[in-house]
Amino acid sequence: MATGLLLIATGFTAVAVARPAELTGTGGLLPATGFVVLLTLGQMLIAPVARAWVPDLAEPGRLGLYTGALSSVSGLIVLLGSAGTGTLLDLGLPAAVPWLVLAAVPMAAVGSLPRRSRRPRRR
Amino acid sequence: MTSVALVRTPLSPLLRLLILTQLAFNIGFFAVLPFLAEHLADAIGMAGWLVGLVLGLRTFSQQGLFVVGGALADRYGVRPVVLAGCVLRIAGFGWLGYADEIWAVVGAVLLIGFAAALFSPAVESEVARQAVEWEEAGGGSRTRVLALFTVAGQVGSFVGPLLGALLLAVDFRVACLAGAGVFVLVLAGHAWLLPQHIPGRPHIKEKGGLRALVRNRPFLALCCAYGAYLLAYNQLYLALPEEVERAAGSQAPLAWLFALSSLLVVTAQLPVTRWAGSGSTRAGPWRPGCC
Repeated sequence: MATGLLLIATGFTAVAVARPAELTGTGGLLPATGFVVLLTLGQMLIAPVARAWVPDLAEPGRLGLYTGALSSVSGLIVLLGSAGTGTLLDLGLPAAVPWLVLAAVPMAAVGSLPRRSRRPRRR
Repeated sequence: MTSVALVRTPLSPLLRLLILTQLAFNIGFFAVLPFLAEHLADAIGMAGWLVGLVLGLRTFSQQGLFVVGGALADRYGVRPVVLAGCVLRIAGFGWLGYADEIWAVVGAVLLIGFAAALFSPAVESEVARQAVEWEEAGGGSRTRVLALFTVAGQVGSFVGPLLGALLLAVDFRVACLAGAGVFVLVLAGHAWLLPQHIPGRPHIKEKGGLRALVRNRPFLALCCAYGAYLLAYNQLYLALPEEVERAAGSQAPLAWLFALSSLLVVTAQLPVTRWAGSGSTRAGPWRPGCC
């Protein structure tokens, strides 16, 4: 999961680093393509692992509630975060800055990951 | 553990049903959704802000109410909640196909969203539970089952818009009815195959689950990390279009980048999951704190 988040942060950083060069044309699409590939690799690492983790963290018998809450809470984060991102893109900052801020978000999430990934299950 | 992972145990019929369901959900949903904004603006004549509001309400009634649907699945079991969700989704698509007043369209869109809030957490939680059982029975890593579930969803969200675009050549109503038709199949499949009581999944009657949840710090941390990933994923629609337009002079390459992303998941998800899983057992932890 941490690896996935780091890959995504790298993708944002790649665009931020390439941005001042103002490349255009096919070569100019390279950073965007790199971003999409790294984001997708991150997605492949994160999405199944996050789902796999929920049964270890949920109270017994309440897996539905916790599975639903994972979607609802993260959806709320996206809603608030997207409003923030939209504002950031409209502020007229140097073009690389929003991408660096976006890179910082998954980095911060790595730090907040729960320490133990699996609770030993006793049956 | 690596040796266990090499043994190929077939998935249970229930797991196969649930994974196929995820495929069908996304085919039916994405046959209609990508074309909704244009339908609202052109055929219904909504202003741009109203289209945005309706799409936002759809997301809210779906994503925001997942927690309610999940709790209902714990209370009443997976089967009634999935069946009710399918019925509502069929009704919603049928209504949307024939609605031409704004209030009716809004009602239909909310119904479509709420339907998913019923069936999705029920199916997702049962897949996760079954994946854990499969792992404990020596089938292999649960993450691989969930990776397969993700791939099924991705294939559906790739095939759905193609189907929708074909049907849209006739009209929007036909696309809606085809979407409803897919959910009729899911409804029939679950009514036939999904047991009333799934062994190992008790119905929990007591309240108070939410109070424990908001104090569950590891879980909330997982939600934050997952939210950070989803926020990054949404930049495909927010930050990326502007960057592509700057570099290429138009947003046309976006469609190719989205297709690249889908194709990567469909082809590379299972190998990536296998690689990541073997890394955690052979080369030490790849997740923080994994012992």
